[in-house]
Formats: sequence, C-alpha cells, structure tokens
Amino acid sequence: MNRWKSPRLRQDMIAAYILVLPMVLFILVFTIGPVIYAFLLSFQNFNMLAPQRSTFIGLKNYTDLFKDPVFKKALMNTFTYAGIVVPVQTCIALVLAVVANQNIRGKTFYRVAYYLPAVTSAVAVAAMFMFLFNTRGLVNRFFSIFGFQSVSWFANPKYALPLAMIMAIWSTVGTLMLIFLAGMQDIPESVYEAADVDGANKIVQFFSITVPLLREKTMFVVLIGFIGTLQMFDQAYVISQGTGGPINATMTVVLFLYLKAFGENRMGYGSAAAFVLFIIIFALTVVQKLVFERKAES
Amino acid sequence: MFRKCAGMAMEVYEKFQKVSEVSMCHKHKSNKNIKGESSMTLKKMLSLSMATVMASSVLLAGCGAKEPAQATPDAPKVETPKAKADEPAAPVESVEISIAHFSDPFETETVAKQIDLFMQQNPNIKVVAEPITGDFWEVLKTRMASNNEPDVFYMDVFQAGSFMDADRLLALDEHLTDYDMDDFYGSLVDAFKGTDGKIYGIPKDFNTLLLYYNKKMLADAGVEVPKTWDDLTAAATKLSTGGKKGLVLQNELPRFQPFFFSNGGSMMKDGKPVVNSPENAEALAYWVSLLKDGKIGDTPANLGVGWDGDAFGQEMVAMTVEGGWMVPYLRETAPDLDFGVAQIPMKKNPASMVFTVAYAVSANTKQVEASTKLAKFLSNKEMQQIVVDAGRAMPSRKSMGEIFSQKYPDRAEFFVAVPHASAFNYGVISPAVVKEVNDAAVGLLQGGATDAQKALDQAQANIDAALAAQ
Repeated sequence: MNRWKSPRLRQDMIAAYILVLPMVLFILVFTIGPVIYAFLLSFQNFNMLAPQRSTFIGLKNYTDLFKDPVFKKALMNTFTYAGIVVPVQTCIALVLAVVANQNIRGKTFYRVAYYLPAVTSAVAVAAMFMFLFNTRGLVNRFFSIFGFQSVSWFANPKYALPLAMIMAIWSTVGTLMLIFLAGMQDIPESVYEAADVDGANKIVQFFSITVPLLREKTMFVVLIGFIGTLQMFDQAYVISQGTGGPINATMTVVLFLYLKAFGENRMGYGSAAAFVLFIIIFALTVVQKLVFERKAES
Repeated sequence: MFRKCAGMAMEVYEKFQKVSEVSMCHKHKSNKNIKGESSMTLKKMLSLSMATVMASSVLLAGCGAKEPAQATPDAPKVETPKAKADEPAAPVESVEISIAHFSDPFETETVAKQIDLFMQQNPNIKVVAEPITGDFWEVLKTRMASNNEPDVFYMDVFQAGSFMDADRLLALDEHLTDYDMDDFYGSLVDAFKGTDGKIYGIPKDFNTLLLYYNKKMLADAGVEVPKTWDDLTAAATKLSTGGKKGLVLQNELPRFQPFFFSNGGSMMKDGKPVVNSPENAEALAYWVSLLKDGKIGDTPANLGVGWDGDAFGQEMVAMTVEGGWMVPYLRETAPDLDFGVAQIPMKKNPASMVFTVAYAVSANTKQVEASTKLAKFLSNKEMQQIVVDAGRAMPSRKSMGEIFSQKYPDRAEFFVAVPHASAFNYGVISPAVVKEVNDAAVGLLQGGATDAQKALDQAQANIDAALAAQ
C-alpha cells in the first residue's frame, strides 16, 4: 500500500481523519470504553455501591450463570421469543409489503397505517395492549364468544410471553414492511411482464420472482429481527412491571442482567450475562450470514 | 441562550472563512501548478473542518462559560468584602449542598417550599433541589458509583439495607444528640437502624396497611367487619354474590406479609431473610385460599383493573387490604363511596406492615454539618405540618400524628397499626426477597404448585443463593 506516498492523498487522509475524529471520540468514550469496562467487570465480584470491595474472581460469574436456573429460564424465554417472533414478523411484513405495493386506491393510507405502530413508543403500546388483553378487555370478550374463559394475559404465567410476542410483532412489522417495500421498488417491472407472457400467475410470480429477488432484504430483516428480539427488554419490563414475572415467564436475558446489575447491585454478574448474550448474537449473525451467502452462490 | 451562541459560532465561522480565503488567494498567486490546486482543496477542507471544530467548540465552551461569565459582575461584589472581612472576623463560610427527591409535582413543590424556608434561616447554606425523574434508585446508585451523589436524599426503607451495607449512608447519631428523636415512632426509627445499631435516616413520613371495607355492601349482606381469619373467609364468601366478590388482593409480599406475622411467622432471623417457617407457609396457604379460583376473592389483574383501588372504588368487591395512600385516591376517584378501615383480620396476634421513607445523608458528603442540619430541618415539626396539611402520607412524629388524626379522623386507624406493623425491609437483598416470595405466591395461585411449604422452601433456597453471591 503506497497511499501514504502521494502527498495529495496523504493530505486528503489527514483531512478525513480530522473530520471523523469527533465521532470516533464519541464512540470511544460512550460505546467502546464502556464495553471494555463491562468486559473487565464481568471477571469481578463488583458491587455498584461498594466498588472498593470488588475482587477479581476469574470466570466465576460465567460458571455461576450457567448454574443459575433463572438465567436458563431467561435464555429459554429469549430464544422462544426470537424463534417465534422473527419468522412470523418477517412473513407478515412480506405479505403487507406486497399488499402495500399494489396499485390500489388509498395505498398511502395503508402504508401509513402499517407503519404507525413503529413510531409509537413501546410503553404506550404496552399500556394499550394491557388494556386490550385484560380480563374485561376486547380480546377476551371476542374469545368469550367462542366459549373461551377470560384470562388475564399479562398476569398469567402461560400467556404473558405470547402477549409480549404479539406486541413485538405488531409494533415492528411496519418497519420491516418498509424495507421489503423498498426492495420491491428495485425489481424491474419487465421481469413481471415477461412472467405474464409466460403465463405465470400472481402466486407463482410472488414465489419465483419477488421472494428470490428480495433475498438480500430478507437476510437483513431476519438479521436485525434476531438482534432486536434477542435483546428484548421494554415489553417484558412493562408487562411485568420490571420483575420478569409472573414466575419469570417474561424474564429475558436483558431484563435478567438489568435486575442483577441494578436491582441486586451485582454489576459483574450482570456484565457477564451481557457478554454471554453478545457472544450468542454474534455467533448467530455469523451463521446466518454464511447460510445466506451459500444460498446466494447456489 | 442557544440562539445567541449559535450566532456567535456563525460569526466565528464567517471570520475564519474570510481569513482562510485571504490566505488561499495568496497561496494561489504564488503557486500556480497542479500541486497547488490540490493543496488548495486540502486547505479549503482543512479550514472548513477547522472552522467547524472551532465553531462547535465555541458553541460548547462559550455556552458553558457564558453562565458564570454573566454572573461575575455580581460575584466579586459579594465576595470581595467577605474576603476582606475574612481575616479579622472569619465569618461562616457559605456552602452549597444538594437534595435529591422524588419528582412528582407534589414533592417538587413541597421541597422547593421547604428549602426556601431553610435558606432563609441559614443564609450561609445554599440548597439545590434535584428532582430525580425515572427510576430514583437506579439514578442514585449510578451517581454513587461515580461518587457524584447528592448530599441529602430520600431513602426508602425497602432500599436502605443495600445502601447501609455498602457504607453509603452517614451515621447520624452524633448529630442527633440535640434532636427530639423520642417524638418519632420507634418502629420507624428502628427501620433505618443499621446492623451496628446506628441511625442512618430520619423518618420523613409513612403508611401502614389496613383492611378496607365497603360499608354499604357489608350492611346489605348483614356482615360484621371481620376480625379474624375465619371471619374474613366467612364474610368474603357471604359477600360474593351477584357478580361481586368479597375481596380483591394484590398477590404479593407487601400485602400478605401481615398474615405471616399474624400467624406467628416472621421474615428475618439474625439479620438475614428467612421466609420458609411453617407459620409463614400456613399463612400463605390461607392467603391463596382466599384467591383460589376467584370464588370469594380475586386479583386486580383478573378483575381487569390496574390495582386494588380501582376494583374497590368501582364497588366490584367489598373488601381489600391496602395502604393509607388509597384513602386520597378513593376520595378523588370515587367521592361517593362509603367505606371504612379496620385492622387486618388476625390469627394469633394483630399485624400490619409499615412503608416509610427517610431523609438520609451521603457518607461521602463534604458538608456534613450543613447536610445533617438540612435533614433535621426537613423532619422538624414545622415542616411536617406541610405533610399533615397535604393529607398524603402520614407524619413520622407522634405529636404530628395526633394532629393528623384529629384532622383526618377516618385515617386515625392507620396510626393504631404502627406498634404491630412489620417493616418492608429484608436487609441487603430486599428486591430479591420480594421477587422470590412473590413467585412462590403466584406459583401457588396460578402456576399449578399446591404445597405452600415447598414453594417457600424453594424461595428460601433462591434467596440464600442470592445472598451468598453478594
């Protein structure tokens, strides 16, 4: 590399570095720095209120984590949640994008209507869902028509996590739809016209043209879907009023580490949980990238 | 302010551009080769970025510096004579302290009023109020972690254990020798005593739990106010008719703890949480029997309301166990409701629960004198009169409690509960204790568990594990 040899390029580089410096400093101080600090904390028995008492305990936080039944439950919940939410929201978003992409009357209205949940604050959404899903709420009344007994969704250990899933799907589908919609605009009309000439109907066109050509967008949507759902916190926090209850039914990994770090002051233990989650997300992302790239090659 | 700064920054930017233009013209004349062209673009970029950096630094530094700069004209006037007077008389130095408090409008207004009075009486002490929005404890803990906490702050008895354990609170004993601590309810003062027996907070106000009952519903059903557990079951059964239920109960420790104590149980042993005594298990089984299947009682969630206050206020139920804070809520949301309060039905002995907040001083404070003075001032009789007048939580002084009882006779019963009220405090890991015991109760009610003793044994095992990890 001889880019430093040309004086002109060198000067350009200096200018470029000066321009990015403020942002780099910002990221170093507020992102990278805390990450490194948290990594160091994860090997310590660090009490936030009494940092002077903290001691280096090696990997004990990590080994304790995998013996902790609540952490196991949190991992289970988080994976169940991600495993259901991501496929469902991706499919719904794709279908909505197709619908919103039709030349139908009032399509702007539909696009706005589908996107509206995405710009509503999670806390407001949770409050609304708790209203809809309480024992006297609309949903229970609807189901009671078919003879189901009213249940308090968010207070019942069996239904609290499904409620969080429904909330998440409802509120993120709009954003994902927007990504698919953008991808569909890039598919040339001529491909569909050729398919028409060949006699392919709309459904065949959807599966043979739209879906394969949206592969990159799908990968992106699935990827951010997994990253987002594995970090689920706000819905669980609101539904359970910050406890992860009823009986850990809504305990997610992030809520777990929050409760350990800020509830029990165990910063080291919380940091360890954060790094376990980071490794899981990182590994999943790499695997997904490989899978999608292999598919793209074949 | 912002506009002014932005204007200043623009001015600097324009000036800088002019300067760089001049220098560039100069450069252009002397250097007419291609290399000069490139260095010119670089210069342009550099100057642009420099200007931006300068402008933003002016914006940042200038704006920050502006405030004190404007204050300087006045400051010397005050300080110069003081500095001169310093040598002969050595007067009291002026200090500044801060107090962090809950940020609801009532507290914010009250504290503002109180510190104004304090500063009038103590002109050398400047007090800054810091209302904390969001999670008070999270904010306080993070600020302590960076040794940047306020001098004085509210301290909930529930949280006090972990703060005392970490030596974050100042022991107040030596500052309270001239203070009438005898006037405070003993159980409140004890609640803020550390394991070393020292006092770490001056109680501000408190609330206790009682049984609320709907007078009309009880009269209609011909039911007396229940006094024992058997009475309570019978009354709730009789009152559960016509779509109404006898009881609404929040299925959580800070509501059923009085039943533990009433049955001879307890929560702490030798300073450590011990929750799985047979007495506790028996009481928990009884409590769950009141709620099981929603026949004679139910939880607010199952009734489709946010909390007990709504179910009781809307007359969906005849009775509940709640704190004193429900009285003002009911007066406001259900002004026509005719209700009464009584001691919680008992088994072996009467029991209740006390929730309290104190003024605590940071162990880190540089202004021990001023901070303890403020804490004492805020809990004196005059200041507690403000608490009484507001009619919210109950004052922590016995003398003021009497005035409160006279002013609000319907709430006098809450003071009667004080001597037999247990504290909402389980040492270092209070949050974990509450969570585990709550989980046990939810498991018994909704999770398919049937044995209260086993559920509490499991809770105890988890609590011990959490305690060992501290």
